[in-house]
Amino acid sequence: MSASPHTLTPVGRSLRLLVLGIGAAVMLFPYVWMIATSFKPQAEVFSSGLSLIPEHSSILANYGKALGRIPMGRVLLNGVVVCLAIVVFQIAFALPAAYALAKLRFRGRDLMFGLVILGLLIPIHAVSIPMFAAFRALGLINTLAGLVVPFTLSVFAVFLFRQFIKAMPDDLIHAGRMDGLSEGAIVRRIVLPNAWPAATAFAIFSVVTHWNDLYWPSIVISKTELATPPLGVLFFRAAEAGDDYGALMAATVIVTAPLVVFFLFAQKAFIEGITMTGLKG
Amino acid sequence: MSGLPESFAAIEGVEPARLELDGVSKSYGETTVLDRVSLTVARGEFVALVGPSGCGKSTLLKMVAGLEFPDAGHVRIAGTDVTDVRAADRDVAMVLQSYALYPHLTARQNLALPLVMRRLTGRQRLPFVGRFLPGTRAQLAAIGADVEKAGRALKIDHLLDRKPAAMSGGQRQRVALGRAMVRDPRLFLMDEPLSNLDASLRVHTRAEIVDLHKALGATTVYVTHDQEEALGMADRVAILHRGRLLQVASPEIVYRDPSRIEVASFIGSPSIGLIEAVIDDRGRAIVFDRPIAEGFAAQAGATVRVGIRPEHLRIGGHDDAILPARLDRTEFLGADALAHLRLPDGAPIVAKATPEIYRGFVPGPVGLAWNAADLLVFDAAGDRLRPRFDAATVTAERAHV
Amino acid sequence: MSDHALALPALPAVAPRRRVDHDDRAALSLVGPIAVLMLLLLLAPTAAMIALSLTDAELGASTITFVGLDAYRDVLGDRTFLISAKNTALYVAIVTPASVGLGLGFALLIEAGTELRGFFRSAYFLPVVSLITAMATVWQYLMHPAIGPINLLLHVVGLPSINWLGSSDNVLGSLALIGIWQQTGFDMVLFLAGLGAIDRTLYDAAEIDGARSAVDRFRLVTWPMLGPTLLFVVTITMINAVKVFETVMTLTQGGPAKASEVLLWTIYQEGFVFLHLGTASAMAVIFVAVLLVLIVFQTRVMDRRVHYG
Repeated sequence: MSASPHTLTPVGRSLRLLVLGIGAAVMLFPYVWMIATSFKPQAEVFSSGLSLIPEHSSILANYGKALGRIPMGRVLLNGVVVCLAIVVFQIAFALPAAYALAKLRFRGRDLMFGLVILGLLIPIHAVSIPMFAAFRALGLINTLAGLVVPFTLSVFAVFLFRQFIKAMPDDLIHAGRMDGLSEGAIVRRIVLPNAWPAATAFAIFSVVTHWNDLYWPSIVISKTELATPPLGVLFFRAAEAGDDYGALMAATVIVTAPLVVFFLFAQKAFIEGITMTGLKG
Repeated sequence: MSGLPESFAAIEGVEPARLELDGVSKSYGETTVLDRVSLTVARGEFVALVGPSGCGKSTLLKMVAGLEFPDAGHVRIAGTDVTDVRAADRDVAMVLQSYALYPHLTARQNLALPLVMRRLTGRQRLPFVGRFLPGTRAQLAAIGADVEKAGRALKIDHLLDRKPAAMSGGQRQRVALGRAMVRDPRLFLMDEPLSNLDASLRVHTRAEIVDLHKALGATTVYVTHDQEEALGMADRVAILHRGRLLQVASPEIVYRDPSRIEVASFIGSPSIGLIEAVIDDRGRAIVFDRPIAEGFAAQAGATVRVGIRPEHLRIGGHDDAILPARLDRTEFLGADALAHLRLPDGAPIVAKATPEIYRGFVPGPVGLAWNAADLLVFDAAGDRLRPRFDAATVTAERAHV
Repeated sequence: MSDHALALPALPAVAPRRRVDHDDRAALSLVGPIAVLMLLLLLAPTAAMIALSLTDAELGASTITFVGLDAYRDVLGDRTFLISAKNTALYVAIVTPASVGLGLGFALLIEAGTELRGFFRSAYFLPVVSLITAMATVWQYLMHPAIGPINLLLHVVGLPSINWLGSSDNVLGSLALIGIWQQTGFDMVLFLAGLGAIDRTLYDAAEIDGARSAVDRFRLVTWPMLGPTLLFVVTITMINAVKVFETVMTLTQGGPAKASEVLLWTIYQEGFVFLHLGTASAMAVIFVAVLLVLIVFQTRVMDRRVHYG
């Protein structure tokens, strides 16, 4: 009696759950097998067919190999350091510039904004060739700095923050000026706290992007101890010449887990962050 | 306003429907939004549903429309029980507060849509193919003509090929009205249709809607939080407060003879002054040791609230004063003026008169007086208490008090 | 007015212009650092890329000769590059409609009810935050011709095994399958945001206007209101698909027989494995041109159709 006209009929409800359930099963299928296989000894991987639960657990052996064959802890640490350094530099450089572009009038502003738009159109992949040549000359190959430097500039962050700051009331800035804040202090004490949602969204976007990136690290890094997680997977697989899928899956679990766990704990922030950056990008 | 009734007259008569709400209740979880609301709207009547925001008036309107469904009670339109019938099958038209025009369609298409949905079959509405089915062309031509007619009646014919984004707020409002009107509805529902317009346009459109109602003759339920709109437009006003219907009566009765204290407080601007009083053993209402009204059957010692409309409060010398007060300041409003006063206990009360009367008034002690017949007295539960004697007797005896 | 003032050369402090001078100086310290970064990390490399594309530069070679547009002629006549371009186009043509369609479908289904909303949203979104390289490795195992669970499942239901990644006929389709798996959740959350932004009262209006079925509501409100989101999702999905690299590098290295050769992989090989900086730069310029066409397509051509007003 109190049903709203848009609620589903019982058939519709079951159909919805069925279709979404099948979709979710397909989406989660790789994760289930990744985890299950990471528990199996090598022999069972080849013989056990579709059974998910191992007869003999090989957890310790598999994860031991995954952590021991290459310095997996170091790989994860590299990933964290690189991602954090990138995101901190990106925001630190982009936020003041975005504020200036959004709220100040200065000579060259239009040119500057034009460059930002141009930058949005040119992916790192395109300029990687001359950059590689330059980094070789500068000795940045096989350094963590080499992984960070190209990404300290994020025109996307400038663009996103500019849109966000533009929507802030001018009176907020005027009040700051009347209270005697310098422009730099306005950025730190007024713009940053108010742009926090945009900064969080961008930070999530940036970390997901760079944690996943394989292209540039594979150009700059060839040493195992400097590997980021994606490279770590490739190096581990190369070191593990045979088909030791148990250990390989253990390694993939280890490198995938940090971001996934982070996501599961902060789902709302993640989805909002990706949506906000997605829709503005 | 001028000329509108004639152009509306071009619209064929509709068969207005009687609307009955019978003990309608609705709650969301713990919150009761509507509590056993019963209301009958006669054929062709214009009823305004008013109340403060959150009183449930929009929910009630949506129930009439078929967008919400009651937990208990019945909704009947033209004698048919439609309680469980969805909006699409109720044949009611509604103007939504945000207008809800389809932004991707022109005004013409917006107006035609409800007709297309009702007059064409599902197959005839198919894109591309539908156009070639038998009868589609003739129907579309008829719809086109009806849209043109409604457009002319509302004087929006020059806007018909614009999209909503290219119109002013007032123009969008007219298109929304047109979309509801074009269907010749049996029942016309409006949810705060003027709240998004600026003040001058609001007064103008108010008159137009009244004219439109007269011309169409459709039964109309009009939701508003603006008591002035309700009093000025409706045949009857229904006051809703916290999900309960307090009073349904003509604007004049609702103002002069409210049945509940909430009605008295809500209707009237500035709002009614309320003074707490105690009934003594002779049936008199006593404030600050002075009797201010008498003739109540209430028990001695009972607390009552005595209401005085600002325009009934006279400010004078001390000799004929019923209560002493203090004048804080007067406020000039053009045709009227307000006097802001304080009672002996510091409670504020407002009086209203023409500016001439307050000319020369300076802040300081004054006396307040009124005609006992004008008082509206309510018991502790908020129900209206009426004196045992008729008003004339009370007035005559006032001198002895 | 003030724009005009900005165009004048800076003069010594005159009252009305002080405000502008002040902004100029403040802006310099705010945008200065990023201007330098732009020069070093964007403009110089872009200029260098274009310049390199006009030469026969090779890393390690002692001389560089200007060859004009020869590199472009070579690239456009190069069999590998043409295969790569064709494969990339095919990959985009499979992944875009599939993941946009599935993303929209899932978003509509999730939005249609209340049960398990959060679970489904997270399940579909999970691939977006999972390390692509690692998950590609997992897919490699899943698609293993002999011991892979997918072929084992096919066997159970009586279907023949498929050589997913090892056959030149299947490899691009298999990579596209992984690409769809990766992209669908991303598209879905964008659609969910788009659906959430639709004015609910439009559905009320549609109901009152006589829209009875879900199909009517979809045609009348959802689909037109989702127009801008849809356009956007299609574009970003195409751009992401054009940039396919991780799965190719991890799983197939362009093989077998160049059947999974895609643009970024080809550029990567040419530039960083064969060290032919000139030809690689020419390819990169063409790659950027393709991206530009996609973006211009979005902003110019389709924009007009979905923005109401």
